[in-house]
Amino acid sequence: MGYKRLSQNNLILTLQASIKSVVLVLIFWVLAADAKTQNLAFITNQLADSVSVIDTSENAIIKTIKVGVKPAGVMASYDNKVVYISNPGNQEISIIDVATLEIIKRVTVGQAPLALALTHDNKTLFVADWYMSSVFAINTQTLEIEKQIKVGNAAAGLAVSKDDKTLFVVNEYDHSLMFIDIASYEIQSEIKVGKAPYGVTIDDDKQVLYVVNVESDDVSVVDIKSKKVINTFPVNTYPYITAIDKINNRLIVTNKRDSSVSVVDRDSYEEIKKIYVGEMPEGINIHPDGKHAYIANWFDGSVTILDINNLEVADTIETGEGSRAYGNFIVER
Amino acid sequence: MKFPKILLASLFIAPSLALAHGPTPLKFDMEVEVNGNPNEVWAAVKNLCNIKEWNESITECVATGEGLGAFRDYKLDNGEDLKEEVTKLQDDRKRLLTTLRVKEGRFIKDMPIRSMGTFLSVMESNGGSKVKIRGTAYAAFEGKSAPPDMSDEFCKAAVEALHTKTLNGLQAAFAK
Repeated sequence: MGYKRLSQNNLILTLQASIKSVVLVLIFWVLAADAKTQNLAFITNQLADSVSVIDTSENAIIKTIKVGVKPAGVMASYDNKVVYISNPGNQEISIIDVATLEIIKRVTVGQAPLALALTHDNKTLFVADWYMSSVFAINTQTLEIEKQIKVGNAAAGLAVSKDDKTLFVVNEYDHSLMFIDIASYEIQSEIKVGKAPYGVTIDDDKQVLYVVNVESDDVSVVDIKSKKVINTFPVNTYPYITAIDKINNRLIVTNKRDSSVSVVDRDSYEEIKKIYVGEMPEGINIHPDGKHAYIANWFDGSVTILDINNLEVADTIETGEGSRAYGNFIVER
Repeated sequence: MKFPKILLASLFIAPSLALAHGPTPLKFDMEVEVNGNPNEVWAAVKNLCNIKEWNESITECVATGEGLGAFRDYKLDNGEDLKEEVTKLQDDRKRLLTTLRVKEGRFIKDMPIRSMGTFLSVMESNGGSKVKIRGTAYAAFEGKSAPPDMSDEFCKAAVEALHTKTLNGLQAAFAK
């Protein structure tokens, strides 16, 4: 008897649990449908003075925004509210509102603003100026220049540490990487990397930086703590920048003058595969879905969508002349 | 064994070769149909000093070395000496990349560029060949307001004119 009653009770409990989960699933489904998130890719087209906005759920361009002159760099804010675009042709930072896809502000800075980086609290935007051997720190609330930091020749790449304490600056003509203390804007140290370094990507999990060297066709792996190059691995002709595929534990490096990407193991740095994409690829981002990489092809004026699991090209979208997308260009809204 | 002091000194103070980047690359995208099979045309294209036969602006050319790392020194009819290095050679894709780097502070007369990277490629087309130039270059002038004869537009027109002569001459050579 006692056993039977227990079993009935269990049945009721199980039923109740099932009903609860069905209700929960329904609630989630309704919520998800209501607040459907959309991922957008903002591609700078340097020879068309525009930004193509791609809705990545359909891989269709939903808007082309006229920005400044010769737009190159792009930096999405970490709160997904705005996207900063650098325009070296008219010394402008265009600020695009993600909700409306309209330019809400234009800031004039330097002589040729190019690389962009942002603190993770979204409060300070760093702008590397190609001609002025300087990085400008801009307060994103007031849009005032807080500081002009003198760096090396041809500041080409920027990154900010996750704790917002250190700014990393790549100086292409000095073949160096600088560590700058953000609180004081003082240069803490400068180390040599490969020949003509350009794009720099921070790997928070491993506490290293990947600095791509254009003229030595390789990537320097820099340990952040010891400030030392701990490894160098070869890629292909005129590499540009590295993206980190955390799910598959790989690095993907664009090779501009090989029209390819090198897919490299994130631990051994062995090449897994080289894949031809569009002509002269530059900027690359891993999509938040963890399944695709978006790659801007400068020569073709297009974006290649790479399936990062099977390492095959999944799609190609025509964007505009001179697509560069140098920086973080995918946002959620 | 005595090195002239000035030469030794110049080893240390010589301006380094300019690097390839700038804020805005110029783009070149040109092609011609050539009356010849792709293998023959490719053999001609990768022979570095054949450009002297095709390009009427090139008056002298000397090639040194072979394959990757080979270079050609050539003279333009305005007296300027240029040097291009083979930075990529893909027989399988019939593509040759030559790179011109200009010393910092030097301005090539009538074509003031800092660097130039030029892909010449050959592909099959209508029973003959198509030869493409896909290239980039950067103006040498640094700063936000270039004088008209140093501007991006000026440099683009000058490089385009040089490439046009190469392609037209190549086409004419195979038309015979």
